[in-house]
Amino acid sequence: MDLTKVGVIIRHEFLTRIRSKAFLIATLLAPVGMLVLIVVPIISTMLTEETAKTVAVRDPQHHIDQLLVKNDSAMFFSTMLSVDSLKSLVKNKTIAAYVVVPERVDGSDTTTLYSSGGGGLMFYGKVEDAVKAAVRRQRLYDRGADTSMISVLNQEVSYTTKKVSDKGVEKDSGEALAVVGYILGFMIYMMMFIYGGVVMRAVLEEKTNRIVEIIASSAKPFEIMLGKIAGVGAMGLVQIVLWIGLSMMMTTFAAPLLRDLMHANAQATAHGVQAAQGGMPDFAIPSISPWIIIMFVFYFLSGYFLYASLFAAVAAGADQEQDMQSLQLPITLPLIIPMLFIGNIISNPDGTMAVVLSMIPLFTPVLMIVRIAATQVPLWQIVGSTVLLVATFLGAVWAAGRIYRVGILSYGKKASYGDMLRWLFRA
Amino acid sequence: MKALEIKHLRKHYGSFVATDDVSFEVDKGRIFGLLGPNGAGKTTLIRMITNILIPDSGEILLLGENVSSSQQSKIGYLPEERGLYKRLKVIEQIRYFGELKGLSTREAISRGRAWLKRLNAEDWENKKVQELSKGMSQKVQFIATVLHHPPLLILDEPFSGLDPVNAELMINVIRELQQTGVTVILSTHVMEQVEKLCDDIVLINKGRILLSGSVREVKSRYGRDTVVLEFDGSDAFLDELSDVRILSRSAGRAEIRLSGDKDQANAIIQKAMQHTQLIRFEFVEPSLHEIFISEVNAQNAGEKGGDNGSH
Repeated sequence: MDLTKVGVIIRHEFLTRIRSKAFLIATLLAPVGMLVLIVVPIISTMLTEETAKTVAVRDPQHHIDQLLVKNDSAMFFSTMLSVDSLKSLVKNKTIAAYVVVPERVDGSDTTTLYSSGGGGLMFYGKVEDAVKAAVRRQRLYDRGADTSMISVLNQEVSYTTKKVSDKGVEKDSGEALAVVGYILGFMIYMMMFIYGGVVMRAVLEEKTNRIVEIIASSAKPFEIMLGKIAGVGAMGLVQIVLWIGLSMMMTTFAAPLLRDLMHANAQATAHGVQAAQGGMPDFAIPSISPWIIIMFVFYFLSGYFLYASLFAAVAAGADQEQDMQSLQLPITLPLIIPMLFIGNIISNPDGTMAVVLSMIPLFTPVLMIVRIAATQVPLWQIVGSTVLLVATFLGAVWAAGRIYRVGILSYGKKASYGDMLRWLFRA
Repeated sequence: MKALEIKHLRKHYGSFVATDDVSFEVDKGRIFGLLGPNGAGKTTLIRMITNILIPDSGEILLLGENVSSSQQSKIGYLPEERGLYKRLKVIEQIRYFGELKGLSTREAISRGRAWLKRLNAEDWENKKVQELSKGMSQKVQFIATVLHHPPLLILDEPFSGLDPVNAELMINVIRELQQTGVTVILSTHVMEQVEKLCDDIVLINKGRILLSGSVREVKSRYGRDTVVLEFDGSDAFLDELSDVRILSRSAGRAEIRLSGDKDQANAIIQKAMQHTQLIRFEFVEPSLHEIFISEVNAQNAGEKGGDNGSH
C-alpha cells in the first residue's frame, strides 16, 4: 500500500469537507438545535403553567375543599353552585373544570373531574395529585391522626447508594453513569450512521461522475476506499470535538438563564401542591474516567471503519441514489438492532443478554460502551469482544475493498448481493 | 525499447471474453490509434494498461517494465467519460489529480496555472467545475491528464465536445507533446482525426485484433481500388452500376469501391459522362473510415456464417 497516496486522498477528503458550507452549517446548527430541543419544552411548560386554569370544587361535606384551596388558591376555589350552573360555566370557559367530591371519602366512592376535555396531561395530573393527597390526608384525620403525625408521614425520606470497590467505599454514581453510557452509545450509533452515510454518498458520487476511473488510474482501489473513509472519519472527529466545545460554551451561557427561569417558576408554584411530590433526585454529573473516553474513541473508530467500509461496498454496487436505499438494508439492520436493546442493557448491564449481545462484533461498538460506563465489565469480555471486533473490522474492510474494486467500474445496473459475492472472490 | 508492449493479453468477465490474445507494440514518440467499434474491448484494454484492471493472462510492458501501481504515474489517462468534482474549483481539481500522481502541491499548482494559460483558460482558475461548459471542463480534464509529464498518454475521444477552434488547439498541443518524446495512444471513432494525427493503428473487434500497422502500410495493403468522382447533375446513374460498392454519396460527389478489374472504371466513367457533366475522376487509397467498416463487417459476417455451419 502506498501511504503517500492514501495521505493525499485523506487530506483531500478532509479539507474539502471541512471547508464546505455544509460542514460549517451542520457544525454550528446541530448544538443550537439540541439546545432548542432541550430549552423550548422547558420554557413552553412554564408558559403553559402561567395561563392558570381554575377548577371549582363542589364538596358539600367540606372534606377536602378547604385544603385544596389553601394549597393552591390560584387553581382551586370552593363552590356550592348547582351542577347545572357549573356545567354552563365550563361550557362558556369561565372555569376550566369542576370537581365533584362524594358524600363520603373514606370508602370507594369516586371523586370526579368534569372538564370540556383536552386540558392537557399536566393539568389532569396536577388535579389528580392534589385531590388524592387531600383525600388521604382527610382520611388520616378522620381516623384520629393529629396534624403532627400527618406531617411526619409526608416528610422526605433520605436515601442514597454507595459503591464498594477496591478503592473502598465511595459515592455510587451508577445511575448517572448509566445515563452517560446511554449517551455515549447513542453518539456512536449516530456517528456510524451519519458518517457512514457520508462515505456512501461520496463513493456513489465519484462513481456516477466517473471520477473514480481517473483516481483508479492513479491509486489502488483499496487505497482510495481507505483514504476516503479515513478522511471522512477525521472530519467526523473534528466535528465531534467542535460540537462538544460548542455545547459546553452554550451550557455555560445558557445554564444561568435556565436556572433563573426555573427558579422563578419554582417560586411561583412554591405554595402549590407539592405534598405528593418528592424532591428532585440529587443528580450530580459523574466524573468520566479516562478509561471510558479511551474506549469511546476506540469503539467509535473501529465501529465507524467497520460500518463505513460496508457502506462503501454498498455504494460501489449501486448505480444510482435509489439503489442504495434497498442495498443498505443488511447494514442498517445490525446498526439499529442494538438500539432496541439498549434500554434492557442499561437496566441490567451484567445480565446474560447484555453479555451475549455486546460480544457480537456488529453490536459491540454501541453496546459495550454502554456496559463499560454502567458497570464493571470483566476483562475477558472486553478483550474477547475487542479481538472479535478487530477481526471483523479487518475482514469487513478487506471484503468491502474487494467489492469496491469491481463495483466502481461496473455501470448500467444495480448489483445484486449475488453479484457482490462473486466480486468478492473474483481474482 | 518500445513505449508499450502488449503480449497475449486476455481478460474475460464470466463467459464474456473482453480481450482475447491481443498483442501489439507501440513505438516511442508515436501517435498510436486504438480503433474499434463500441464494445470491441478498447476500454477493457485501456484499463489493463492503466492498471485499473488486472488481466487474466498475458503481459503488459510499459517502457520495458511490467505495469504495476508504481508505473501508474508514467501514464496520463483521459477517460471517455469525463469525471470532475462539481463543487471543486478548477485549480483545486488539478492540484488533487496532480498530487495523486506524485507531484508536490506547489508543483501541481504552478504547472496547472501554466497549462491553463497555454489553453487560454487562465481566468477559470477559481471557477467551480459546475460553472464550466463542456468544452471548458474538457480542457481541465486534459490538464489533469498531462500535468505530471507522463511519457505515455492515453486519450479516449479527446476532441468530443470541443468546437473546431479548440479542437485545433488541442491537436497542436498533442503534436507538441509528441515532439518532446511523449507517446500517445488515441482512441476515437472519428476516423478523420486518426488520418490527421496517427502514425500507427490497431483495429480490434470482439476482443481480437483485426489489423495493425502504420497508417501508410495499412492503406497501401488495400491498394488503389477506390475511385472518387465529382460531377454536375443527377446521381441517379449510380444506382445502375453493378458489382461495385458505393461508399459514400452526396450532392455531386461519390466514393466507389471497385470489386475487381479496371474495366469497371471505364464503365463508371461512361455512365457518368452520359448522364452528367464529369468534373473529377481519381483513383485513391481507401479512407480509414472505409477500411474500418469493411473489416468489422467482414469479421461479423464471417462469424455469423461460421455459426450457421456454412463454412
